[in-house]
Amino acid sequence: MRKFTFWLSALFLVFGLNVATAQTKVISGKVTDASGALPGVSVVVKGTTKGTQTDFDGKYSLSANVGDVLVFSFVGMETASKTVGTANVINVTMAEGALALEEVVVTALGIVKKKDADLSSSTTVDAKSLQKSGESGVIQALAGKTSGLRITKTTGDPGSGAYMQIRGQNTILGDASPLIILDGVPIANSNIGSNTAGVIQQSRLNDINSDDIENVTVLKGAAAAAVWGTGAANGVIIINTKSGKLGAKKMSIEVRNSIAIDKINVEFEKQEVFGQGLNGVWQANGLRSFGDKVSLRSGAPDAVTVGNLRFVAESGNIYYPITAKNDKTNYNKVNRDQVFGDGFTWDKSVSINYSGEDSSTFLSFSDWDQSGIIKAGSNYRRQTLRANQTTKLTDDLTVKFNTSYAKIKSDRIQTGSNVEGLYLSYLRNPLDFDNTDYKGTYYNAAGTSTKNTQRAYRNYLGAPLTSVFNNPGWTINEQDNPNKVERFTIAPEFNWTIKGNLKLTARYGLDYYTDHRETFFPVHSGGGNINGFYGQDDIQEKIQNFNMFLQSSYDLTDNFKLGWILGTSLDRSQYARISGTSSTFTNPFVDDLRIFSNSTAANTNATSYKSESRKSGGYAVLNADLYEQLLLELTGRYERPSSLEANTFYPSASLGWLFSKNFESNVLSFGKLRATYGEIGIEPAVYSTSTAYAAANIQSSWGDILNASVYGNPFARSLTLGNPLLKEERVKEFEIGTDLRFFNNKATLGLTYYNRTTEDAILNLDVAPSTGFAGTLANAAEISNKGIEVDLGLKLISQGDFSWTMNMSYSKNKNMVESLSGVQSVFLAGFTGVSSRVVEGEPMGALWGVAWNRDATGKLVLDANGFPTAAASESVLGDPNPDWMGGLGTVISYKGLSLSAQLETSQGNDMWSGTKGAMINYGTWKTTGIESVAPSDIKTSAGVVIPSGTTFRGEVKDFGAGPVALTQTWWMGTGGGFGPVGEQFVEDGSWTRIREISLAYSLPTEFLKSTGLTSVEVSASGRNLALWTDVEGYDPDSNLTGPSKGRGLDYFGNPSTKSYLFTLKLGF
Amino acid sequence: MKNITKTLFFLLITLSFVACSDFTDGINEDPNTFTSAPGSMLIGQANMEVVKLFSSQAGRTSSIFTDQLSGIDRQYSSLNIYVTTAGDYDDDWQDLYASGFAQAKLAEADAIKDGNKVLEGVAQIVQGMLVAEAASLWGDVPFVEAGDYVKFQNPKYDGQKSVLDAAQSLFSKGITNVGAATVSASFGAPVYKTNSATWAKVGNSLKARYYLVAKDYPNALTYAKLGISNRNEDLLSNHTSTVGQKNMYFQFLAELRSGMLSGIDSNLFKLVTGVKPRLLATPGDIQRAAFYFTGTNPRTSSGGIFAVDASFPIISFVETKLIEAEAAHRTSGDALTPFNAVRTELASVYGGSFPASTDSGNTLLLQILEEKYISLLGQTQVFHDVRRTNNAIGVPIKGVGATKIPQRFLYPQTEINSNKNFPGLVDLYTATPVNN
Repeated sequence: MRKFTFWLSALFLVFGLNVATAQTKVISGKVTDASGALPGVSVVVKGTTKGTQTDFDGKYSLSANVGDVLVFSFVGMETASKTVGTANVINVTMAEGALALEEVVVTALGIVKKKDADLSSSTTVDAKSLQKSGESGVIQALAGKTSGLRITKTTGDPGSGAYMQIRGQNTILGDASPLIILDGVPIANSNIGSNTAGVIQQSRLNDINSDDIENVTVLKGAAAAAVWGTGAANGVIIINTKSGKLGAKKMSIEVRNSIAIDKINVEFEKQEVFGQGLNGVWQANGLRSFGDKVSLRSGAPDAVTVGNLRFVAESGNIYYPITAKNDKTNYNKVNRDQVFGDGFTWDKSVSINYSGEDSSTFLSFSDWDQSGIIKAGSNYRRQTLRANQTTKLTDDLTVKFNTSYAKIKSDRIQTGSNVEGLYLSYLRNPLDFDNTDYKGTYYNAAGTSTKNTQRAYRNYLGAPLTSVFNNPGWTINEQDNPNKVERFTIAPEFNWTIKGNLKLTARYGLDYYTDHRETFFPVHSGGGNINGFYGQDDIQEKIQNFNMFLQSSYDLTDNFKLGWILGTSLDRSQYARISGTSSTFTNPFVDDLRIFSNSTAANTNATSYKSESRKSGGYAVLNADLYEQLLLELTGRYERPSSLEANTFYPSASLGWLFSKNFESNVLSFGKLRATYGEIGIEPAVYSTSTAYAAANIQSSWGDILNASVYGNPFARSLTLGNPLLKEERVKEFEIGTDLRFFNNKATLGLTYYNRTTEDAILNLDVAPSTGFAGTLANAAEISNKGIEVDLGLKLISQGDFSWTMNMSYSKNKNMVESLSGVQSVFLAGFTGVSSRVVEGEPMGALWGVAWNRDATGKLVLDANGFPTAAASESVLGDPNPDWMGGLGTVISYKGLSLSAQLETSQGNDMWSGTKGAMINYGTWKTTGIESVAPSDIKTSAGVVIPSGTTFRGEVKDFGAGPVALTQTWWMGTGGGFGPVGEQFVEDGSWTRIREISLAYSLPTEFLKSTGLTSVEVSASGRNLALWTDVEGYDPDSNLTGPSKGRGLDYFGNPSTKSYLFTLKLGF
Repeated sequence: MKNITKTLFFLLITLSFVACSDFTDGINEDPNTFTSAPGSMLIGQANMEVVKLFSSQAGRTSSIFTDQLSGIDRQYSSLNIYVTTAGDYDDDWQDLYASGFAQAKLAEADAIKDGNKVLEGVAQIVQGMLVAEAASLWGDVPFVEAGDYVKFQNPKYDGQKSVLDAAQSLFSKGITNVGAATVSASFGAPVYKTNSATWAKVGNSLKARYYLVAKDYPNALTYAKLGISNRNEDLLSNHTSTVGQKNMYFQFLAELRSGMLSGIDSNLFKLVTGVKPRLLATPGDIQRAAFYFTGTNPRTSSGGIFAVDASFPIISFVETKLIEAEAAHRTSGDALTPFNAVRTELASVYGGSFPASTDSGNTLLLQILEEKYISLLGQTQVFHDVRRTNNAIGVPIKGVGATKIPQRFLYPQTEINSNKNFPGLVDLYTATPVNN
């Protein structure tokens, strides 16, 4: 850093020495618009490099000769020209540009630019449409708003993270999420710890209050992101927060109050016919629902043996050993209502906007308080504070200081492949077992009591330490998974207009957060934590960036204009994590106490991890404009990331042609062709250049484990071989597109085709384990993404107070793993049975597992009983990437009333319906309750013959060798989710949904005059109200392993939601 | 203006890169891990893998294939009828080679460098045990080119017999090197239970075991006699109720996958509970059954075979004596004495009546094999025996349409995926070369 201070001063020195030269006549004046003085307007003497900007009062002065033409330009305004005459004062009133012309984009460096002059496919989404979605997170709110962007929520849990993918996946091991630039500096967007079990983690991008956001820009192409070099390969999301405008003294306050009700949007249907047990017989503590037909029971109370052996629930209900199951009540509804209800969110925010002569202030406070659809233990509360201050120090110097603080507290529920998770035990629960009493005191046959034991369907008498699967009531009420995040960001920015158009911008950004997570399983929980478990996990991340650039522009002649940017940046990212666990509690009655010392030393464990990476780079951008038609932009970035041993260079070039300037047309109002080529990179994970030695546990894939820490802490050479020759992964992209407007700007069309290839993608080459390593990192893969993006906007009606607009987006991306250097497949996420993988010649994330055994003609190979069989080895079963995605939005407004809707679709994405597979195996899936009549003598998969005309529990199916009976044997074997064949549960997960629909009304201002209010708006919205999909039981816009690269997995993930929102907005 | 531009350009470009190297150099050194470790630490990891290999998934799979236990639920229902795929064996294979064999090989190299004879010997015995077990389970496996990534990125598969021979040579070298070192005092504790076991006797028992696998009965007999000579010299895993130190069967049966693996309907369960008569009447099986099972479930409660703190035998006195008995029988020697020594031992362990045998000929052989089948519950050796003897004791065939029990573990998917010299999948029912 010392060197920077030095050269910063050097820079000032150089400018200080520069003195202006020619001087003839001083012209001054004031620039205004309809609302008053307009600061920041560029005033340039046409055909020269001379120019200035208006100050906070809209005033300017510069020297010019008589006959010179002064050009006044400002984003969103029509450019004005004035010829210098005899007068020394020239005042200008600028008019707002036509609406479509106003469209702007924000570049990678945060510079606002007219969309028409932009050569990229970037799109800027304004804040209004983000707020309307009513999502807690910015990412989720972007869903469906622009082409080329795919957003997938993890679950409906409050604060749950989301997966964000621009175009297609570019990397196997590298960071897959886009670079987030908030107010000009990068911030953390981590999602740490997403797995097949545990709790759903948040995305750190959720920490931003959507109300603070002015606009969000999605930079999709490589060329547009090139100044950020390494780290920008997955695209860049530029977020700018609000700040007051300098100028007239004005203060405004906005208060928003919003409530939302969440409901589960899709639920699994369970069979309602057969009870707990096996082979048609009721079984106490039976694992599955293959018992007797509940309706045939007597309906009397269960016969029990009254004695010492009993469970006394907290409610006072007493349970004795059952000798005959007579009860025919179906408890599915009771069990549902035990855990699921309506979620409720109350979101409040206040913002204050102050504009002064020399400073402007934006202050905001928000409080998002949400409890989820799970009745307990699932909530999210986010409080944010933001202060953005802009101060004009002198006419040439402006300092901005943006700062924010966020505090998040949430409680999460265990989910996924997890016997202590909610959905796993809930969906396996038999219909004839009432979960209501889940906790109480157990008395054994001798009358000895054990307090606080768990009662669950596999342990109906609540015997100590034997529940195996949790009672869902226990999962939500007794287990505890709180987390707390505190985060602050500081982003000072310094702007110096050195001379005319020459400006220096320097920014520093600090983003720091701590994430404190706890996991608590009381004694008598199911699974591996029966004796109690308490864990604590503290994560800290700090990201710093210093970025400084110079920019200027010259109009060399009327027809040749040049602009350049020259900059440098330093990045530093630090991460630290300390985790501790304790298990097998010494005192089982811990209540609210969460301490490590309640376990013996041998049962406590601590681990730590820290990492740091840095990057330094310099960049240059050169723009040329010929005849206001031909646009050229060249960008280069030279940098050194600390994770590499060598410097890297990323070039890019863009060319555009505004061809519509050559003709007048009533049809085509504007036309631009653009072509870009760009290179950007992804750096290898830190410390991957060397082979590590560390204490290593040994664990089987079933979970049984030997911990090094209790066996003398022996060391092992890592199974991953370090590779000192690693290079960055390089994304090379060619993009061609057009932006068109028709019928006097009533219709706009943007079309983009891109072809990007990640070369040298780093891959954990699955080394043959017989070499002594399991893998090594190597630049061994190549991934391509080719696609088309279409954005269409229509202004259908615009007459007086009535307007109707529509917008459509379409994206098609074809992802392909071109090469894996001979490795057949690489595991990304999932299970031993079905996983999401990288497979050569297939799209990224391909679903992988065992298919049905087929002969050379593709026909199923059937066994002696006429049932299909499993293939001998694994293969690709499906593609979780959509073939195409589309969005359709419309806004109809009349006076203060406005109705908007957003439809979104994803087609051709496969999902592995793992929950369904498991429910079939357990006999709880709805079709396992079907009874059929054998049409002839048919066999079960075990070869047992069901005589013709017999009614049996199951279905008749013909796999090709005549009808067979699908029964318990089949479902518990090859035909269920625990059989070897994953193929049968890979389904088309295409979906179409009404993402949001909203009706808003703003009171006419004349009604408010006497009230002191300046605006009142009420709105009602719905999110996710309708969903059309073929998968059953869950929303396919979800993923078990969260925002991981492994996609398309469903296995007992917590359910998704739909919401109804009501908002009242008041302006003062 | 041009001057400014030039100066700035120069400044920005040069200065930023002067700063560059200073700013980023030396940052990429991992502050979390070491870059080397002494052999004395690496051997512990290999020993942990030995325990995992014998008492985790491979043991469970063997016990299902040989019908000692029944897979009755979820994935194990399929395994019970021999429905299994390559991916099921990834975990065992990877840990055996990468977490076990390769670490022991590194430990050996380090020991040679330091002139630490005992460590060298232990590392050799451990390598031999791992690779011999690999050959026993999978047939042809990599050995010569295994565990040496720098030279061999795609290790060739060696013939099963040659790998077993190579393991014998490792055992022999190891036995010479360890001298009289005990397991407890020399790199065995705390992974193995502290007792009187010596590496040399363990080595000899292992030699006997894998000669038996190779059907070299004279050598099996010779080395069995030099092997473990009493119960207190068994090589046993060490477990307590501490997390991460629990018996692996216990973790699977009681904590992780309750209800998947059971004695219900299993051949061993029937034999030990008297449902199916023993070839040699054994009243003491009542006591033994109580040690093995609670109801039909493998016993995980305190004092049971799979209790949380129960040691799992890696190689034992009972196994050694039964090897001796079988090998003696097959070489026309005295099989009765070692066999009856086992019976006496069992009586002393379980406290019941384990009458001595007075039989001879094939009856005696089958008695020996049946006793080993019952005594080594949950151990892979029984799977080797049943295949080697062409299922002489008549273990039930559970696969739909199968005519024999699986003859091998399938080659793992990881090798199919990543080893260019992978010889190709071999069918589950194709016998390994030594059993052909």
